[in-house]
Amino acid sequence: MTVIDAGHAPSTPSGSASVLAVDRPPSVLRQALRMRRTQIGLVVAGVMVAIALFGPYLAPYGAREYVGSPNVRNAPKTRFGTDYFGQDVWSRFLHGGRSILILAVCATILGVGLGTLFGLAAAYARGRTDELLMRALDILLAFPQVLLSLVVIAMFSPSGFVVVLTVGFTTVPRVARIMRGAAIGVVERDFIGAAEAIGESRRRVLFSEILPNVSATLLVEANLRLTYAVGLIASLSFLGFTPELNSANWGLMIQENGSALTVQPWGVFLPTFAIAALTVGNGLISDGLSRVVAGIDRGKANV
Amino acid sequence: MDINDPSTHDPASSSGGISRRDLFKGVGAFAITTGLIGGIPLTASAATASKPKRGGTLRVGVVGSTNDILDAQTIVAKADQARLMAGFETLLAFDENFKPSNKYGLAESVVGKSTTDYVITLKKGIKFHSGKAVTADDVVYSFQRLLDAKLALPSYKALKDFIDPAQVKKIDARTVEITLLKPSVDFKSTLCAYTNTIVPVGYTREGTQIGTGPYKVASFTPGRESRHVRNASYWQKGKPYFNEVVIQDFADKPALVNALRSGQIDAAIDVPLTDIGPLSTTPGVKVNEVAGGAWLTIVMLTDKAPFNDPKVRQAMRLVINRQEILDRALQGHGRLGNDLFGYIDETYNANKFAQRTQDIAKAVALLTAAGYSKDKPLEVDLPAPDDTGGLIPMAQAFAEQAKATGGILKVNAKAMDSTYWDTTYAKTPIYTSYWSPRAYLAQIGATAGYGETLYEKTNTKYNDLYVAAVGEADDAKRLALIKQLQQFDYDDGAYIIPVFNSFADAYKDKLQGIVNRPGQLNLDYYGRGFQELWFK
Amino acid sequence: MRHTPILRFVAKRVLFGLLTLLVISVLIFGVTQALPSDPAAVMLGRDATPEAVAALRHDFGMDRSLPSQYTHWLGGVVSGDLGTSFSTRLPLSEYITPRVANSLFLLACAGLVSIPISLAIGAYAALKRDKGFDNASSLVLLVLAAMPEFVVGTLLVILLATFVFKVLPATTYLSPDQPPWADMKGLVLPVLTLVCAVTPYVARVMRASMVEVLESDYVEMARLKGMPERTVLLRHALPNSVGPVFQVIALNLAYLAGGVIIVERLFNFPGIGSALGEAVRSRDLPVVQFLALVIAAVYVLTNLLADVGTVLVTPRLRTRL
Repeated sequence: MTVIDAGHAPSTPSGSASVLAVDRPPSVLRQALRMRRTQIGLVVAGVMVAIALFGPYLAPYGAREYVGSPNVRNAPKTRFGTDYFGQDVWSRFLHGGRSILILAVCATILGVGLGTLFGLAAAYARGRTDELLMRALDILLAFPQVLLSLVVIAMFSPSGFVVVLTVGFTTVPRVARIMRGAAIGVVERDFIGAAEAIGESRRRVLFSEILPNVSATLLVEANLRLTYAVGLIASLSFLGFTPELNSANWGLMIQENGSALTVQPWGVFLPTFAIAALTVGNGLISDGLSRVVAGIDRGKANV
Repeated sequence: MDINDPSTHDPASSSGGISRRDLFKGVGAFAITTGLIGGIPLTASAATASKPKRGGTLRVGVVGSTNDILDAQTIVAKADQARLMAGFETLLAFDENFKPSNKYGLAESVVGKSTTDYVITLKKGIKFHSGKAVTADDVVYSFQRLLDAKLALPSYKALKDFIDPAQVKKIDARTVEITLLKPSVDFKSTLCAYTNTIVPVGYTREGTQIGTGPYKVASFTPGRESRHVRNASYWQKGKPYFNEVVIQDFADKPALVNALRSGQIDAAIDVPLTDIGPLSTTPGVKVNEVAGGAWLTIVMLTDKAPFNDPKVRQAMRLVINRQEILDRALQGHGRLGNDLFGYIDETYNANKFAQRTQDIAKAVALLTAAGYSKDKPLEVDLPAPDDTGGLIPMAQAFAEQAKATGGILKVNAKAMDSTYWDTTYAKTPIYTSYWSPRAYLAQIGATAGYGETLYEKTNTKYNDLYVAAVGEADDAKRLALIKQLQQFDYDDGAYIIPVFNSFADAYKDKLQGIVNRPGQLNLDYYGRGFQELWFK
Repeated sequence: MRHTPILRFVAKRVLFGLLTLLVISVLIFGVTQALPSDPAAVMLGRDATPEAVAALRHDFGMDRSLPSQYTHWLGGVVSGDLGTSFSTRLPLSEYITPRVANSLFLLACAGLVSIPISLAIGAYAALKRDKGFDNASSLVLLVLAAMPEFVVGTLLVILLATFVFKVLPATTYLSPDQPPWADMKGLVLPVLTLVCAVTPYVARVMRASMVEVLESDYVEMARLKGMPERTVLLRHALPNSVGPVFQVIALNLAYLAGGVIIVERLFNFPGIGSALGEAVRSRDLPVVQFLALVIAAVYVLTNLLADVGTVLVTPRLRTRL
């Protein structure tokens, strides 16, 4: 998960450029939807998102409510028994997705937004500014996201806000690389020169001319980053860095119930399954989209 | 005066978390034992009928980390405790009835000439691991080290008001006389605190680890393991029995329990309470559960708003559901608390107070009287350190219980890392804490020494009663004073004490010599530094 | 004559790498200093006295100015004196070196297993493009790539160590005097988890690269010349498609250096990942600083090697220099 930009790393000598062959997002979506894997991904991710968003309304008990003796697999009036703390496993499962999802979406918007801005600006500015900006971001890349998050969260104590900022900011350099790669091809094209010639402001060129032409890549990237953000936030919770002490969170559930795995496996099974389904479903969508955009299936990824 | 802390163990332990710092260190204070202590039921004292056998390597597992230290007079975590016990000894040690005794101690006798003047005589022929004889100079040096503010040993805060290192005087090679700054009815208990050990002149943590204990330190790698070889010239003839003791660190409790199950280790110190059931039915494995007097607590600083208002303190005590905390945070392995400490003390139930239970209506009435309402609720952050099992669950459970007030009291449980000790402990208006078992007056001394509640500062009557009780040699008169103190604790004090927690060890059944006794260190003082343990 | 531009290129990259590391060292030092709480007070815990905190701060060198602390630290690192761990009071070289060795061994195992597997999967999928194997492998790799390591690891524990098959230990056990290969059985699950995390990326790039080569003119030419397919594949297609994969392998190795934090925690493996987590918690600044620097250095170094490697194996880039 996280971090690796490999599959589409622009650092590969080939990288970038593929975007040119591509249409605007609506048609990308339509094409992607014709693929079986995208359809499956959409269904799986859709179900998990629905559980995450509406689960709290369906949960029979509160996230921290005490329902009976801890770690009892067939506790009365529960579907999957009680967890390490005498709480209803099923209810915690239903409560445990919303915060991860919301934090991940916010972090993705922040990271992809800023990353796109930096990437496009670097590509458009070219020359020294480009070099400086990208090298500065490269330095941040030298730290794995988990490591940076670990330190930053230790600095400020885990709140939802800090988690979003941390995950968002550590995503920036990774997105910037990709978006710069995609934009470089666009910047070279005639219509940019034309727009400049008729006196459009640089900001307008950036947002009205370049951005729409890389929006398909942006779509793929945003979805991919969302998958990683979900994984990273869940991982941080697993390491014990979580703002959700008073509610529930799938990553935290795995950590909390890990020691009772053999006694009460549901406390680990359900959240593990949930995170896996959410990330895999989303990954399938990303894959469908990137196949349309980059034409992986046609072997054109590295053209 | 004081009482010492007998047992020291880490409460945390009981509840299944990783326990890093152990407050239970032998905070040494003093203990009042005479007469007051001793009501502890003896569960099993006649350990084994068969004769101990020599030989073998004992492998002991304990949760530890790279923060482990090896120091004769202090610990950071439980792993350090086991290592300390193997290598170092005190002048006196608690016997099975929790009374100071010289059986396992280096002193031949400790005689109180008055409540302020004590004469210590060393046993003959005891040698350090280096071969040097233990002398009065070593005793003097050991006290100087314990009272060195720069070292911040656990005994410092508890002893500084009672002992001036300059008043620890060598009389002859085997005799030392100590004149206390304040009277103490039982100085002997202080000498039993397991961190108040005797070290050779010049001992430092960084130097060679030389003590008098049954095993000599051969190697120590923090976070990994330590090896202790048999002290062949140990002063108790014939002991110890193993050739070597290896103390192995595990990152967490699941790993520790797995290691015992798979036979990597012979004994696991402090297994999670949730594992007691499954482990005790595992063939070849025995569990030693001790219902200790260690406790988990929520502390309300009485000099800070809003808890300087007694109504608010009382309301908090009525909101908490103690039985639920016992069931949830300790899985039932412990005893209900009643906002009184000193469970192991004979005086614990002197007043026969009614068990306090949750009473939301009364709590809401008190909070309303204190000026809070749904529109102006009392909102508190309740910080709990993650290095001590049981505290975070307790905080979480309490936060959930507070919802019953319908929004007048809002509690937000907050997990903290080790910075808890710097930013939170004894600083924020409300926080969680924990203690090892101590006799009643010793606990007041320790609480005051750490400035944990500041209750004795905000209630001068309470403080006067305490000073009088510590200096009172007459048992009946002292008991009367203690009953008055406890009335304050119960009605008005700074602690919410929901539970006393148990702790448990598990071991292979070939391991012999383990005694189940309440209120003591794990494995009954680690088999007295492993000297009582042997393989069948 | 032909070598000079390459040498100049390498020298430039090395210089740039060192510069990056210098900036990174400032960053690391700044961030660790900004961590809230006084390490001395944290270290002393409940028993802290003002005298002891002051003495400890002096021992730690924290009573000096920040620039002086920084230069002292950097000078130490450069000259091989890594400083002393706050919490264990052991020299870092003594305390952390075995852990670095353990982690490197874990990484090496993961790399040695995952690289050939991913190259093989990628190449074979390219050959069987759009057929059964290609579709199946891409789906499996996709699933593995999407899941966080701790989920993959937990699933492996459920599958191989607890419920389904009880064949492997759930944790690693290494005694300090043992080399990392002393517990190979315990190493299986951590290595497998890392392999699952990394294989998908390398395989995907290998597949794309191989597809490209297979469609290229010279492979077509070789075929037209009547060379046996085997020779075409092994002599022409394979070597030429590995080039672009270098970068990705490098990126992944660097990534693994971070991934070990979670995997080591999950499997109780005594490496840098578990040490780092503990050090952050207990404010053991020298350990945090050193490990962060090591991880960053691994990244810089692997990138450097990949850049140079790519240039060396790719003829058209070499001539461009």
